Amino acid sequence: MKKKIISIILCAAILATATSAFAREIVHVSDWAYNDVSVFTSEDLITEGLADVSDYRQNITRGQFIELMCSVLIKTTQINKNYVHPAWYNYFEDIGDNYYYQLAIGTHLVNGETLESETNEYGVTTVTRARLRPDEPITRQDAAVLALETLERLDFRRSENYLVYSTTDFDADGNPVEIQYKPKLTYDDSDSVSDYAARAVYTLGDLGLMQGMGKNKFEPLGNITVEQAISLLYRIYRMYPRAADPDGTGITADTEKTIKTYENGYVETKLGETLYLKKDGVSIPFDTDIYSNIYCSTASDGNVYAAAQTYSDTTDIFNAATGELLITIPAYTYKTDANYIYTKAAKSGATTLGLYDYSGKEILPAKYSMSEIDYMIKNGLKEPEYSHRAPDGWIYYADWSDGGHMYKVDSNGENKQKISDEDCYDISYYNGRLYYHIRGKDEGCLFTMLPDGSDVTKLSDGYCYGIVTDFLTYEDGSPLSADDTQNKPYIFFLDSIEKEDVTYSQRLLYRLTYENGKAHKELVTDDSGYLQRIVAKDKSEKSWLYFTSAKTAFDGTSESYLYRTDGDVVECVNDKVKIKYFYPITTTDGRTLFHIEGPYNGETGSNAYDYIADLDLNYIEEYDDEKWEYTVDGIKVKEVRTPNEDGSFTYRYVPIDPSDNEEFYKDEIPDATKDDSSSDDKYSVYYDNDGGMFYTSDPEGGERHKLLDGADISDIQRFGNKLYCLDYHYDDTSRIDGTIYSIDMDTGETKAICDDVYSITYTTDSAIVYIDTDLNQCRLDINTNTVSEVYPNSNKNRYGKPIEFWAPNGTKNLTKLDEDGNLCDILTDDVYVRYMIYVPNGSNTEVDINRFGAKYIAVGNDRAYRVG
Amino acid sequence: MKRKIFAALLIAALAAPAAAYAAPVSEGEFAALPLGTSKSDVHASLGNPETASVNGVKEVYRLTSGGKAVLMYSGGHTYFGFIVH
Repeated sequence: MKKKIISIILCAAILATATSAFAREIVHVSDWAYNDVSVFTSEDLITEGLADVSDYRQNITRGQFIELMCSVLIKTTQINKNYVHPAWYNYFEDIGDNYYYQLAIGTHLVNGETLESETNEYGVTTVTRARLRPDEPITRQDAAVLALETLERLDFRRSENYLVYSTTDFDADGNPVEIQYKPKLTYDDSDSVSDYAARAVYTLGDLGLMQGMGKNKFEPLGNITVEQAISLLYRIYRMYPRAADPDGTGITADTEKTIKTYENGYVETKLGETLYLKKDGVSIPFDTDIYSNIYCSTASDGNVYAAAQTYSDTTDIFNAATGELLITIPAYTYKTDANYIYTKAAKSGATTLGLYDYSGKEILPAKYSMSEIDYMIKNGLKEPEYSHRAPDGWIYYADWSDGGHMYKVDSNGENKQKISDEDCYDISYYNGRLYYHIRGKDEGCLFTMLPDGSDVTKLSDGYCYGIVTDFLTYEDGSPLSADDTQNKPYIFFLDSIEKEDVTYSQRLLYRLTYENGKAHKELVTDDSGYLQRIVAKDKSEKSWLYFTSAKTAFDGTSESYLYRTDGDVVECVNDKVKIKYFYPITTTDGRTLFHIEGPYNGETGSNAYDYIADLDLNYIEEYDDEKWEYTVDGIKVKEVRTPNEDGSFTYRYVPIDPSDNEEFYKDEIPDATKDDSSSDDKYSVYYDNDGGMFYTSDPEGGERHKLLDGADISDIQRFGNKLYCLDYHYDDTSRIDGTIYSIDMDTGETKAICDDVYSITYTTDSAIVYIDTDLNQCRLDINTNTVSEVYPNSNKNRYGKPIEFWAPNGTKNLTKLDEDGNLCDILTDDVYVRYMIYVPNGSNTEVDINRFGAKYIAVGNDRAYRVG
Repeated sequence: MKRKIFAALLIAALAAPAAAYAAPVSEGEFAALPLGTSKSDVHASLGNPETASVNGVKEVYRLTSGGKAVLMYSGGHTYFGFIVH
């Protein structure tokens, strides 16, 4: 119990530190900086480091700048605010207990200045003493370096703009080559800009974020004031892709200028630092240090309303004709129409959407369901830090020692209750209800009930072939049907009818809705054969659920085609291409493809081949499962992936025979007349290939180059200027272990940095988490090339920090692991846990949920975020 | 014409409800104001603001030095403030 209390206090302390609840003073600012500083403060971005600063016209320190930088990245959920651990920063001698300094080091925002270091047996140097110099003024060039780091963290996918100044590439012989900077903006004192800061100085200059100090000088060694720093970071904060730009941003309005004209004839203008909404001589002012965005609509009740978005995530609703402030709603608004005010759960990051009406009634909460989070993860979307849905805090499981009956127990292992006498499996929890299959009578049928075990409803008459819960029927952010909001998102499932007198089972696609709390299923089509858990958008950005049609015969000879539904309409995608099975391939560069299994072009049954197809089945390529090869334009190619700096991958085709390069790349050869410096980096391709080697390939038909010999190279990752890979070692019969290598792209230096590796679990931009040959889970810090934090957690896809629940095989225990990854509590010791899901509660505990080998999400309290 | 007169009154009402009686305050007096002060205490100390926002979160004071000072409120108490140069 004592341990729990300490944990709670620690969590509370960390969270309290991460907010800005601290004493401030009234401060002095320059007139030019007032709006930026005021809005930055309203958005709660000011940190404790500035609590005692009463004049923002004075120089900012390195530490204060780092704090503001962290604040922006926390606000935009681009760093994990709990990512602090003594092992990562205890060799810094001057950071004390400052949370932001620890966070900046832990998340590698700053490296600090090395004072002492050690070299290990692999020749890898590790820093043992360093300093941050937080109390010294920060130079303009150092501020540029940190600002660019902030910018790049905000732009998750790193558009080409930020890669203009890539520093290295490989020449035709595989040797690293220095790329010359080609900045559009240069300064007369360029010689004074340090090499390490050049990329930042010129990139920020070219992006218009930080320019010279007059007389075409940058003054890199000059200092930067608090208000200058805030203004710089606020401009970067506004560039975050999903943060709405305030109305009139960038418009200097000494004379009144029109911002936009609404459909109802109202005109929004800007004069000075004030927005005005005008019509028929009536003018309502909105100060831009209070309001960011105005939306005006004529409502169905005949009144004209103005929704004014504040910087504190509330929206003031005005009567636009009288200027009367009617209501304030506690939500971030992004548009209005005749009936609704459309809201978001959060200003920044991917977020769900909600609705208010003009009476102030919340029609649809902007909240996440677990299925939505699952959907976002599976589709590579960024999930927000805050999830406002409060799950119910129970673990539901089937007890093998008690006939598979379903029980629930709270996250402290208390209040165990049996909620079903059926033999249950495939338990899931969506939108406040449990869904499960049972054995015995009604074998395989889908049931639902409330979490207390009541309101048991049998949903499928026959065997249920799975349910789809992630079909978000929102179109352009709004529900498809406003009067159907209680039923969205739909839950789909496939029912089946086994008929004794025929040789097939008929499958029925249902959508599930609720009426007065009672489950109600509606038949979508009785013509479905194979349902896929896929939501894909067509060219008009509309989302569809895909499935195959028809009565699928057991001998596989009947004809089936690809269909899709939006929940209301069912349509055949293509009536020419016959399909037996299919499943989606969603690539990280945004393409969604189908992997389909024939029959195709007259092939049938076991003679069917595999294909890759687009969503309309208009583009189809043969797919070779063993070689992962395709034929494109008559040339044999294979798909290779290029690791991006952010950890994602770009996929592209590469000819298998290098002699095909010239023909294959003929349309991709860069135009020599264009400045193509930005494309140097993206044409370097790294991949494993036959014999465990990997190569670079350039797009102009050059030779491929071997970078590393190996027995079985895999898991190629790129972080910054280094490539990492795992090479497995074998004896005569089986795999023994593996070694992780790093290759410096600047120098070409290759190092074995870690061995005794069994498999790599996952990677972040700062660490490789792997399972060693003793089945310990280990963290290899790629910044220091040191292994830390070994957890005896067997082959589990987790990393020690978050708390997890675990049912070890061969035991009757349902256990809880503490934040160090060690067993801390046995919740129950009399249960063979057969299947378990955890619905996180409102505690201050982060919980790592293994999403079935997909990606990892931690959900706890009211937050949800991906680990790492 | 009647409509235009109404509009002019509206602008005045929204933008500067207390302008007629607002007296400038000294910079030192304003800077000494503790944040967290209730609106009524601010008014008792500094007098009426030159302008105030309709939603009540912002008040602007004129300074005797010729500049302006801004107070932002949250929950009826001062949340932060600026002396603008």
